[in-house]
Formats: sequence, C-alpha cells, structure tokens
Amino acid sequence: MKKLSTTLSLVLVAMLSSSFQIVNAAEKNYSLALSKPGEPVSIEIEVYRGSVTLLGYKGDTIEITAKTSVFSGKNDVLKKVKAPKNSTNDQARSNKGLKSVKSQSMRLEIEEDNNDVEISSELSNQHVDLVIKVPQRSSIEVELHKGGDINIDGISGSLELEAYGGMIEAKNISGPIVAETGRTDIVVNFSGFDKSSPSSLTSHMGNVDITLAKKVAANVNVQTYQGEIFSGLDKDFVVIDEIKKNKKGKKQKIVLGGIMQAKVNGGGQALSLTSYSGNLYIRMAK
Amino acid sequence: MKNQNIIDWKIATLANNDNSELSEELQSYLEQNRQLQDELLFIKQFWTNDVKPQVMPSDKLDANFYQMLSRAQSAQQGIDQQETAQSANDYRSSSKEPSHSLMDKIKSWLTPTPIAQFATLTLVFVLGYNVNQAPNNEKSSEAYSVLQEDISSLTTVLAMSMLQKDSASERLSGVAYSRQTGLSNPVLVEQLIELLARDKSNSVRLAIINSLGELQSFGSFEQQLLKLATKEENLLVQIELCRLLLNYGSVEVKDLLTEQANQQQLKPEVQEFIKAQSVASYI
Repeated sequence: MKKLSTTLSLVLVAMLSSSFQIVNAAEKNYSLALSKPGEPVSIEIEVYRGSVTLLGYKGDTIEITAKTSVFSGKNDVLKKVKAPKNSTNDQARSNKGLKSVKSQSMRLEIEEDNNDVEISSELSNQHVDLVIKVPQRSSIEVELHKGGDINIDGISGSLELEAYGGMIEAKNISGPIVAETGRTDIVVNFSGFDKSSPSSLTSHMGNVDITLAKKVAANVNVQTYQGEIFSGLDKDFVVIDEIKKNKKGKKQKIVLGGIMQAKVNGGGQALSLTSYSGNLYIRMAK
Repeated sequence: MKNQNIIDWKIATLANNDNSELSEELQSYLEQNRQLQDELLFIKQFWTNDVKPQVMPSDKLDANFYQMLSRAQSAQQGIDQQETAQSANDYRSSSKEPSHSLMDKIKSWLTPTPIAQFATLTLVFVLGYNVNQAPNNEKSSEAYSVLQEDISSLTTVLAMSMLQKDSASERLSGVAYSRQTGLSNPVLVEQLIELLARDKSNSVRLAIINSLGELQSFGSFEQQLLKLATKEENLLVQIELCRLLLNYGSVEVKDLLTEQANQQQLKPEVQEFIKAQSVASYI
C-alpha cells in the first residue's frame, strides 16, 4: 500500500501495559470510522504471529477486536550471559533465584487514510488474534507469517491472502481471490465468481479445496505434481497445453504436470488451483 | 443524434475536456431515457474504474466505438504535442538535450491510466463487434483484420498497464491480456520477465511462466529464463520454469538443464521432474 499521508492519516497506536503477572492476554476493541462512508474500502493487514478473522457486514465502520498474548516460545529459561572480559568478576551471570518476567505490552497499529486502512502487528514475541468486521465491499490484503489461520466470511471485494504457517479458509465470497500457503490447506466456498479479474489459489504442500455455487461460471484450471485431483464437476478436465500444441500444428507430446481445465457453466474468468504435493478438490454446492 | 451528443458530452466531461452542463433540452431528454442513463452510468463506471459496471452497453453505445477510438487518438496526439512542446522548452531553458529517451516516451505513452481505461472500454465494444458483425465478404474481412490489429495494440497497452497494478488479481489480468496479444511486442515480454523475477505473488509468477509458452521463440530471453530457473528458490516456480524451457527452449538450454539436474545442482524435486521429462520425451 502506498505511503500514507501524515496530515490526513488517523493513527491509533495501542500500548497497553498490564500489571497482572498471571494474565498473559489482553483484549481491546476499536471502532474505526471511515473517511469516506459508502465508498470503496481497502484494508491491508500484516500480522507476524497470530490469526486473522474478517467478517463482512452491512455497516460502514471497521470493528476491530484484538486479543494479544505474549508468545513464550521454546526458550523459557533466561540465557546465561558472560561477564565483560575486563570485569574482575569472571563468574557467568546466573538466573538462580530470579523468575522470568514476561513483557505485557501490546502493540497494534491501525492507520486510516481516505478509506485505505492498514492494521499491523509485527512484534515477533506477540501473538495476536484479530477479529475484524468490515464493510462487505472491502478489498482485503492479509499477510500472516506465523501462528494460526486466516478466516474470511461474507466479503464481496477482492482478496489477497498469504499464510505461511496456518491455513486459509474463505466462505461466502465471490473474489477475485489470490491466496497462497506453504504446507497448509486453502478452503474456499464461492457464493459467486467475479468476472473482472482471474483468481488463483496456490498451496505448496497443502490441499486446495473449493466449492462452487451452482450459478458460478468459470474456467477452472488445475495443476498438481504429486497430489491427486478430485472433481465433482459434470464437465471433464482437458489438458490445455495439448490443445495449444495441436492448434499450432506441432506434434503432440506428453507433458507431465501440465495444466488441465474445465469450463464450468460454459466457462468464464480463470480460477487456477495449484499445488506441488497436495490434493485438489473441486466441489459443486448442493 | 441527441443520444450521440449526450454520450459525447459525457466522455468529454470524464476526460476533463469539458466542464459545461447539458442544455435543458438534452437534460430533459436524458431524464426520460432510461436506457441512455444506463449507458452513461456504464461509461462512467468503466472510466473511473471505481466500481464494477452493473449495466452492459447497448447497440447504440456499441455504434459509438469508432468515434471514441478517434477521440482517444486525438487526445493522445494532444498529449504527445504537449510533451514535445515541454521538451523543447526544457531544451531552450537548459541548452541541454531533452531527457526523454525513446523508452521513456514509449513507457509514458503506455502507462497513462485513461488510455488503459479506454482500452478496457474498447475491448467491451469489440466483444460486441465480434459477436454481431462477423466478416462475410472481402471488404468487411479486410476491415476486420485492421480492427484485429488495433485491438492487439490496445490489448498490449491494457496488459502493460495492468501488470503495474498493486493488486495481484489485476496483475493476473495483465498476464491474461498479455497472452491474448500472442506476446508479439518485445517490450511487453520484457516487462513480463521483469515481473517474473520480482513479483511477490507466486500465483502471478506461475501465470507469467504459463503465458510465456505462447512465444514462438524465446530468442534473447532464453538466457534470462535459464538464469531465473537455476536461481529460483520457490519450488513450484522453479519446476514451472524448467518445464517451460524443456518444452519450448532450444536444445542447448535443455542440455544445460539436464546436466544441472544430473550434477544435483537443483532441488531434488526439480531433478526428479527433469528426469521424468527426459524419460517422457523418449516415449
């Protein structure tokens, strides 16, 4: 997203400190009014560790619920630090008799400028679970590095989703959607299908599972190298590389891992599903 | 004629060439003509690109295609003249060579948003043209060929503009439009390969690789593609690059890739893929 203007931007920085040693979680709600109600909304979210749930609704504000907790990680014990070389005390520092004090601060940044909204939590030792209600028409971009999943429900704008650790699940959407995971699944339920731009779902080692509403018209492209493809479509998949070669008058050749395509309801905009070792599931809604 | 005048006024208004308001007579005519209102809404939605058009163009709107094409060309000539005048002024004031290189000129021509938006509009009209006016004699066939060339140029402009968008799905559209042109424009191919090297979306990169299969020959781009293939970190992208080169590359490149696979310089999965391809080619 472009650099936001400092004069017009609304910046909310939450810095919460808790004095409760035993409570590791903090929860906070924000209601963010848009600069231009009724106009297109663009929301960009980047979370280092946690989960993101986005719910489309008919309102015109952005309702954010953020629940954070300190990520304890694997190394709970303080590292022993050697004393400086010129120190007369050559004993290594010890944590004997001390207890670990976890940081209780929370940092979540929310910026809005002319309906462009940025929400970010980039601290590596903070786990944040975001539940955000957004106008249905919003265009969404989410990048989640570690932790949980990305869940989307009822958003009609464009979606650009990346989850490196968790899975991506989207329902009641029409796209266009471009989503990518590493080892986890992508599950998408299309209630319609946008004709303006192509959609693409890519998982390197996870499964890609889509369900299409009966009215959806699309060219569904599938490609997996080591996985399997399961289709509930009444149309067969055809290798499109092979068709292209025939058109150019070249001799036919076996192509491993080539793209196959099925035209659903006469065909339409492209919907590509790709995985290296995961399975691809294409279902029609009942 | 009133329809025509109102549509012309709307286009001029959108292009910021005309700030005047409609006459009372035309305004009254417009208020009574629901179809024309839909057409104006369609033009506005497409031009401003804010929302998806909710209405489709009618036959009357379709008939205005050539006039709008002419209008766009005139507008473009105006831009070129302004640039030339500006360059001349720069030259006089600084006594130095104008800084616009040929490539800058091409890029500046190809990137203005209104031109890309017009190209989008044009494609819609052409769709109607293709459906409704298929050539049935020599004369119309010739006109059809000319139109096809115009469309290819406009599609190239549109593709190059879309490839620069922030949204990955719009860049995917750019790749799809690139494919429609048959990749006959080397500047477009160059832009695609540049995007292939740096785009953060692997979906876009995979789509680009797939579209490059449309090239009749990789020519000077082959070495770039080989370099990208051998250095690529993403498994899926690397396999697809290898598949592209093994299917459509020169014998030398295929041998180089096979050699790299044999010497285990590539990821194990890629080595396995290349070996499987080699076996398949002997079948």
